[in-house]
Amino acid sequence: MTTPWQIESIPDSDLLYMRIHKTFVIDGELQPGVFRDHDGAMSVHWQKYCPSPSLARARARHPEDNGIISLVAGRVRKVPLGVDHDPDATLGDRSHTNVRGEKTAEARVRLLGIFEWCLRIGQREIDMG
Amino acid sequence: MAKVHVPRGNGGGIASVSPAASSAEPHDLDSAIEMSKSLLDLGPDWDDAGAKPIDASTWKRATGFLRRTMAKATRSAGPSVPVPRISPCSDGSIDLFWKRPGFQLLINIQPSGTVASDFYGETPNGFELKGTFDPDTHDLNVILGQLLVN
Repeated sequence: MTTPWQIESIPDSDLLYMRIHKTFVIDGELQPGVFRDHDGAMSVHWQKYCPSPSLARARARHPEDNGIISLVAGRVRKVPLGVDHDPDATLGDRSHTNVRGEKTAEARVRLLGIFEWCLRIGQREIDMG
Repeated sequence: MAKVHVPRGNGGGIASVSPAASSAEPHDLDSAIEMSKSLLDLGPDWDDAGAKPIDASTWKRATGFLRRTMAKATRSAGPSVPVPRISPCSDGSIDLFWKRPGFQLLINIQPSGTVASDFYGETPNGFELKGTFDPDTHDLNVILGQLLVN
C-alpha cells in the first residue's frame, strides 16, 4: 500500500516511544529480550506524530498489558543502530519508525542503558510534575 | 574454540573459552532454573507483537549451558557467583542476564541450528568482553570470572 505520508528525517533530539509487554518486566526491571526485531526491524513511534506515551500504548492489542519507554533518537544512533521513519498507511500510523541493525547482546545492553520509563505496566498516566 | 574480542580496558587480546564440564552449583541456581520452566508456557505471539514460543530444546540448551558455566565459575571463584535472570526473547531465544553493581553480562542462547549465540559483558571501569560461541560445546566461565575480578 502506498503511503500518503512522506518519509522524514528524524532529528537526533527527538523522542521515540516503544511499547513494552509485561512479560519483559521482572520485579520492575526491564529485561533485554524486549530489544529484538519483528520482521527485520524494531518498531517504535516517533513523538512528532505520536505526541504522548498514552497514544503509543493505545496502539497495543491489549494496552493494559503494556508499558511505554522512551529513547532519544541520537542516542540510539550512537549504539550504533539506524533510526528510519517508516509511516504505515495500512495501520494508519504516521509515527511508525524502524530501529534497524543487528540486535547483538552488546547493542541490547546499550539500549538498556539509555531508555527511560514513561508509563509503567498498569500506570494510567504520567505525572508531569 | 570460541574467540573473544576484548576491545578496551585491561587484558586485551584473545581469550579462550573452555569446553563444558559440570560440578557443584550455587545455592539458588536450581530455583532460578525451576522458575524459568514457565518460559515453556509462552505460546505463539506471547508479546502481542508476533513473538515465537520458547522451544523445550532451547530451554534445555540454555539451562544446560548455564549449569556448566556456573559450576565451573563457582569452582574457581567460590559460592558467591551470582545467578542471572533467565528471560525470553521474542525471537524464541533465551537471555541469561547478570546486572550487578560491578558488571553486566548478557548471554543470548539461540535455538540450535539458527544464528550464532552471542554475549556481551562490561564493567563500570571500561572493561568489555564480547563474542559468539556454541552453547553446546563451550561454557563461558572464563568470561564470567574475568568480569567478577575486573
